[in-house]
Amino acid sequence: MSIDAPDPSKAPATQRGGGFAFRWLRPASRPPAMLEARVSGPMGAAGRLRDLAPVFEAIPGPAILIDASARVAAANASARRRWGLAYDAGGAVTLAAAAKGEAPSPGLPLARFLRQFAPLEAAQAVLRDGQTRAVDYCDPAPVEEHFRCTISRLQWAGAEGALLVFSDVTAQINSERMRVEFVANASHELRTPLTAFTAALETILGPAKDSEADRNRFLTMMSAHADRMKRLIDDLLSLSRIELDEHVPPEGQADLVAVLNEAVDWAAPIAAKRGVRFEIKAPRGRALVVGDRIQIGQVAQNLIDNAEKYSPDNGVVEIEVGLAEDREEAVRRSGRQWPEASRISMVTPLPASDLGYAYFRVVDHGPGIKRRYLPKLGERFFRVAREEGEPRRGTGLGLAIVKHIVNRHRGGMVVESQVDAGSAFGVYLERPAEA
Amino acid sequence: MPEHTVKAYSEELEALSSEVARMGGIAESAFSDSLAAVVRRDTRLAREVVARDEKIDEAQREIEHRAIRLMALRHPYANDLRQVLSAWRIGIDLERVGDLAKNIAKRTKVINEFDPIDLTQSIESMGKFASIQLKAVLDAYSSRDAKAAVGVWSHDEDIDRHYNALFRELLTYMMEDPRTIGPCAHLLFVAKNIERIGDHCTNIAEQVHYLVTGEELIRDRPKRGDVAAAPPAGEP
Repeated sequence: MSIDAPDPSKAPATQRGGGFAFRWLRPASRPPAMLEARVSGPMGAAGRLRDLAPVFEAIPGPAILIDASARVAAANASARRRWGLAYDAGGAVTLAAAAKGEAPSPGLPLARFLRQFAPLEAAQAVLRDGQTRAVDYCDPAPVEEHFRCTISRLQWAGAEGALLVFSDVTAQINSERMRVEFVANASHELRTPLTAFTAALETILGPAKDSEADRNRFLTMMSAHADRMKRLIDDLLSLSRIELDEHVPPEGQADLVAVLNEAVDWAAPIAAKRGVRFEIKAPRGRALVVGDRIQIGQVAQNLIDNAEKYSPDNGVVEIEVGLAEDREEAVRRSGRQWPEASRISMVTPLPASDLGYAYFRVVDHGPGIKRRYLPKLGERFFRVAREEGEPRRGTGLGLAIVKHIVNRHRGGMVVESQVDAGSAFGVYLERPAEA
Repeated sequence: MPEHTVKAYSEELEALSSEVARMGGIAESAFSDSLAAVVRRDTRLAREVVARDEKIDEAQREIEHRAIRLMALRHPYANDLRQVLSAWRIGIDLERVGDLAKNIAKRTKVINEFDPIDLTQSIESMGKFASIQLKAVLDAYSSRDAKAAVGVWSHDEDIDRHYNALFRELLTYMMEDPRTIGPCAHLLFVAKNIERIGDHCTNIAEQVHYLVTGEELIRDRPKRGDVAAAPPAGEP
């Protein structure tokens, strides 16, 4: 970093705790009184440095300045968002959640929130020997994220510290992994329908050559297999796309009441052929959540299609939409309604939200899912039907897609099921701040 | 928190807390790397995890040392005493988490000598729940959030359910093909280790709750049948 270092003799004399302060790098919106007194004038070196504060703020990835004892001197907007940091009234960086309890003095240690030991060790090493370092590390939960952290020594006014700049490399790593997985999955899963397709084709060209009835029968089979292959490819592509930006939190809002009603409208015509009906129980007004409307629609559609598929003829699929104060209530209301059922959480978010959740629950009265299969739901290509030796329906990717979307939304998903009574799938998502 | 007249005192307390957080970070990455080593059959990564365990032990000794020093020289009371005690106890739990991760890594080296077994997805999803618990409880410690700690504490059953299911699955596997008994037995221990890491997370959650509120969490956490004592039988 090449900031013009100001003349040490003009260095502010009021540095706190004998330490090294980057306090001029706080966001411009909150100019601390102390700073104003310290800066000699707009033309001075310190003035020029202060003008660079917005630059620091605007670095797209998280950026953190630490002093020689690895305490945080400044954190830019992206870093504050990522680790829940804030500036307190005195201009020191604190953990926002702990702000009321204790203000660490003489500064928040880096290790309090950045626990990954690779960047921590590298930061210590940089502070020791001044060599710039870059380390890659992975944040495994709740959504796997990969970062490259570049650390360089920064000297100012005779004191020392270091600048940590983080860049998100999750997309690169994911796309590499996706490509490998996609090829493996596609070639493996397409093989079966392709074999059947080729066999039918060979029959038409050979034994069935002279019979029009046989030819038509095999052509119909071929068309079904081709359909299956197409569905498989569609689902695989859609799963890959979702996994690629699973680490990017969604923007926008969606109204669960509207989304569920729409999904039912789509499913109703096909369901009507078997006499399956839908009943929606929803609150008056809207149930807004933070999220990508199209993806949430996909979740609803998948769950409703599944419920329809597993319902007996003339059955009823029940759908419930509602609001919950916190994660515990959301889990209880979306997935803890049947005392006798087996249940499992497919996705559990970190319990951070104070905003509450909105949830929906889709219930069928089909055969239910045996307890031993519950943890396998949502694994790609897992189908209960195949385990039970029944003919398979679907691609085995529907719930995998649902699971990844819910995970991307930092939401939760719960399943409860009772053999011979039915299954219920519940999804809960965070509500927006202003709702 | 009352202002300490002796500034060095609060700095020592703060240093103790960040040492715990730092140790948590090492344990967290040891655990996630050990899982990655199982899932991706990465023997080199497994070796790294085993080698790294020394750092966790070191961190625990450091915490103990600092805690003893604080108690001997500063005679902490009330909130400060709880900070020292909880740091000490959490250090012990994290050290166990590190050992369990090391054990997973050691077993990975053996498992990788056999043919791949198609159960890694189950291990992965079970491990994911445990690593979310670990992250959540360490976050709760950093931000002194008792509510988040209770959230972790009451969510342990998810891991138990996954463990029970995986247990059955592994048994079926071994019965179907006796050649898989070797690697499956190791996977069984891997699953057990993950389940125990989950238990340590709830212990830490109790400590966080105690640290913030001064009150113990009462042990009536919903717990399904103890698998170690009686393997689950019967379907569904």
